[in-house]
Amino acid sequence: MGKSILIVDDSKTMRKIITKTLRQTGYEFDSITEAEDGQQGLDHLQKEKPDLILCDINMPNVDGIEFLKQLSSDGTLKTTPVIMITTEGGSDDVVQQVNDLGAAGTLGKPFTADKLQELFQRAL
Amino acid sequence: MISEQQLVEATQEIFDTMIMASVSAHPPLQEKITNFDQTVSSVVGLAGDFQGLVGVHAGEDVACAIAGEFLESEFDEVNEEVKDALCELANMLAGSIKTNLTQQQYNVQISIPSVIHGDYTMIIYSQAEWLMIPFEVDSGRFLVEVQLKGNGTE
Repeated sequence: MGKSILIVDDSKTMRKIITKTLRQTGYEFDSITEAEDGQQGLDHLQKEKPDLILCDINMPNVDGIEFLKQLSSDGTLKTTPVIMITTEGGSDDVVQQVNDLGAAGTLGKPFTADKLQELFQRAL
Repeated sequence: MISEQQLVEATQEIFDTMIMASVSAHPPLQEKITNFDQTVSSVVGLAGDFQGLVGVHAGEDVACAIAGEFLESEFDEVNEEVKDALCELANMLAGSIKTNLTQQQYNVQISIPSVIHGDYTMIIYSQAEWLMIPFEVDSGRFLVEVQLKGNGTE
């Protein structure tokens, strides 16, 4: 059975790159759904619970931190693994903050396909 | 604060890992360019211990080519996808610079990227230290710019 993935990122470029990279991992996917910000992502989660969420941190409207806070306070969704994507991969305070909120990992941009695959495998 | 080598390495890393295209750096400009014609500029603001910006400036053809490499597609004109790809490039560069400044114990935040397209003059921080490096890709040259102005705490 294939995996269902939710990508939350305001950049269409990044959503396309992540989708392309995921398809190179060798996994099968039933669905890869895209959301343009945290609110769209939360709206989608009301309808469908994915196997894994990839979420950007720096977004307008509901950003990645707020998205993660709302997810971690929801009894039915808090067990869904979330990989946070950030341009601030080397910033310890950002990594610590998302880890404290229960993120399954942090993917710093720019990233390689191998790094995404490694985090993907660990989270699932 | 941010050296020529750091900016070159950050740009090359993005092209190596995310765009899968070769890029080479030229020596930094001695005189800042502020007038742009038929150009796409993506800009990320910096705040905190420094005010400043990270900018990527590419002529329309080069912007389309970079976006095409990024997205494995072809663009004949500057559209929202081209602008978004240039924004993502500036965003990743700003993240790299923020990480670098954080490692130097500075506190810096970065903004959401914005984009300008057309003919324009861009003077944002006239008193700032600046670094502007031309890079060469197959389709031509583009510029990467950093401006940093301390707020007195650095």
